[in-house]
Amino acid sequence: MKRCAIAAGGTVVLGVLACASSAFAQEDRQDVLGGRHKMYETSQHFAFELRFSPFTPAVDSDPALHGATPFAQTLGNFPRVMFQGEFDWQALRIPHVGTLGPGIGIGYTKMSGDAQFVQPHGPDGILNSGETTSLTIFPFYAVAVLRADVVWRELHVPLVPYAKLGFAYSVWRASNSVGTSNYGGNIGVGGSMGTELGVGLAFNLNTFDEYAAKNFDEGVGVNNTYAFAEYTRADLDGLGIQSDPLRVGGASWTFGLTVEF
Amino acid sequence: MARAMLHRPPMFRPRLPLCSAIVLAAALVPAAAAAQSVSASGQPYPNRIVNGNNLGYSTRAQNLNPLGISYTDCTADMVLSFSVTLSGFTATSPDTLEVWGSLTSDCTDQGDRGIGSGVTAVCWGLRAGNIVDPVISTPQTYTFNVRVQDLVGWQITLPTAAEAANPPAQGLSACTQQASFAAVPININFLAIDSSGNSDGTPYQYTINTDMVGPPAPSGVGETVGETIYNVTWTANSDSDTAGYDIYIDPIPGQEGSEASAIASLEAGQKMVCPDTGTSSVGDATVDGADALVDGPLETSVIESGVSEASAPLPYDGACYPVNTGGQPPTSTTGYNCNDPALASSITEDGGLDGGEAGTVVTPVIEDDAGNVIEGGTVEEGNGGISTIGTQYLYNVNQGFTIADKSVGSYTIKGLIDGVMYNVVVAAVDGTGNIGPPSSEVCDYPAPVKDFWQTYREDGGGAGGFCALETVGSGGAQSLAGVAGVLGLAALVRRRRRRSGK
Repeated sequence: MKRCAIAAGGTVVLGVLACASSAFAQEDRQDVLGGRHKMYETSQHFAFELRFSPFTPAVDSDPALHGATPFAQTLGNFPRVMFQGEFDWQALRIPHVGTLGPGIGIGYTKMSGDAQFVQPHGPDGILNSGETTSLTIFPFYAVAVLRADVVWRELHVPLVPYAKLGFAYSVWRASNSVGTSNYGGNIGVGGSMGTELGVGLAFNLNTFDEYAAKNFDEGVGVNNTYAFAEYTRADLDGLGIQSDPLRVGGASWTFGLTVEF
Repeated sequence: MARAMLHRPPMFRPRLPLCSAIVLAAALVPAAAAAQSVSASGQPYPNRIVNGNNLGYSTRAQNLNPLGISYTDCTADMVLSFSVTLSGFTATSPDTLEVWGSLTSDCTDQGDRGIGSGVTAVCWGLRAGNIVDPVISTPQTYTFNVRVQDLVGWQITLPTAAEAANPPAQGLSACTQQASFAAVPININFLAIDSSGNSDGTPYQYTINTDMVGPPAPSGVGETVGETIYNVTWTANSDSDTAGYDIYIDPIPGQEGSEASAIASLEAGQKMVCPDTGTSSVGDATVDGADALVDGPLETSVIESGVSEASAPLPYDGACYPVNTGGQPPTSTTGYNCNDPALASSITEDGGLDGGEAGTVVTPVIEDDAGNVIEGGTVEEGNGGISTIGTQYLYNVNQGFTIADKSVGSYTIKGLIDGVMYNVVVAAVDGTGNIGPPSSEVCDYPAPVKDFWQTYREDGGGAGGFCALETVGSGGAQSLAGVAGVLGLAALVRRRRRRSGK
């Protein structure tokens, strides 16, 4: 509930900022190249993000573990790279604010470590075995995306703040060198549901070479290209309707590129 | 004579005066005696016969140089059965059909066959059943059987000139007469020989690649183990002969023996732990090699997994595993004393230079009978040889190569039994299927491990499955309602825009 309130509050703040900025809105973009290169902009309805993040799942935050840290103990509590792709439909353009629409994302990350012997092994009593234990996560999410591109379109500041909120469902698989883990008949495959929140700031790369950007638009229909940094948080706690989910969500900084087309 | 006349341009015949024709006919008599023709009949490759059984053209898969000769072919005393068509053998100029082997010569020169004073024979008779003075007016097919051992046994030490025509029969030692682990082509020459020892007519030559030396043993062999698994690692071979690797393991998976026998083979400084059914080590049985074997259940719990173990020794059930007792040194400074004689046997051949010295040599490109390159003409290094370890120790013996990729340097053996000490060696395999000498031994025992999932579950985690839903609680409903609200708001705005026509 608290998280929802924070997210809603953030959305409101962005909306207020957008409304305030509308006072400074200009009718059309005045471009330095406008005089010698005809202003042209194709229609814009979609966005695609290529996302990378150093990610550590919050498995050990599960209250059922009572402070035990099985993830850190076996896989190491350090971040691994998560790859994600997100596709947004910019269904609505809110005047003097930006775009609003649904988006879906899918990702992949895997973390591995050495399984530990139950008993010290061999003459040297080693604990690290030659068996690999892994946790593979495929995060899926569906979010509402608000991109306040008014700052860029009307104030000519190449920054676009944005926010995302929605559902997340991650499919995960615990495995070892033999295959999918199985302990006491419990197979290490499942899914965890929860919420997805993202707040970020995108920097419009068109400003570096507007002539090339226009050609890119005319040629393949890409209106804007952004580099972004985003605070991402996936709370896969089951939303209260899933019993004992594996907490494969987490908070991380996500970086990547966005194209709008 | 008739054939010679047929090949003569007919335009000249009517113009020859009678005397000239007589002179010419007299001159052509020796040519008629040299008209013997030898050629291979229909089948392009010899049949392979082992113990009287005709195995066809090949006993190997297409990717294993099927038309060549391997070490196994040689030790099996394989016979190559050639069907050769003869023609032009006349009574007036009796010739003998002889079969000769050679590395480079076509054996038509008398000196190459050891005829003459002071010559060195470079050909050797193949004891294939010479046909003496046949009279063959029309082409006829004859079968000649060449023993592989007689063919390959004279590569290094050639027969003397006196015995070249009929050298002594070769035995198993012939199968180790290859100096390089690169394949060696050997010619089989079918010759019509006249009474003076000259080669007549058109001989027939068949070249076969012999490869009886496996590639060098992989180096840098190591291992790690996990629960029921055994990881073997090695440094991938760099020679051009290696095509893949085979793994030998002892005891053979599935034939591990009993817990009692394993206890008897415990090394100094080890004991066998046989846990009971609980997770606590309290109550676990421990025995070592000094203890009298237990004629009963080693686990303190009589019933384990629903099976009574009252009648020991039972096959391994994975319940017991050896551990170091602590304070007592192992038998070798490197850990286990891996010394399984069953995995140590091989014949080592020099694969680089003649004379047994280690080194490098550049070899020419060699092609198989189908024209495919089977030796790349690259640098050969180190010593090759042949593994003589029993094939029953080969892992996946019924599936050909264990690993059909020379660049691979690791393999995981699965499905083993925890607590059993396994000895493992790796051997490289060449494109003819020769298994080279084994690597140094490694040994270890798989043992129970705790992976992430087991650790998580034992720590109290309860996740699992995709649809583990519970009754909707208040907290969950609020979270769900929050997200749904945002999406609903977006839909509402969209709908109002449509209505307003914006």
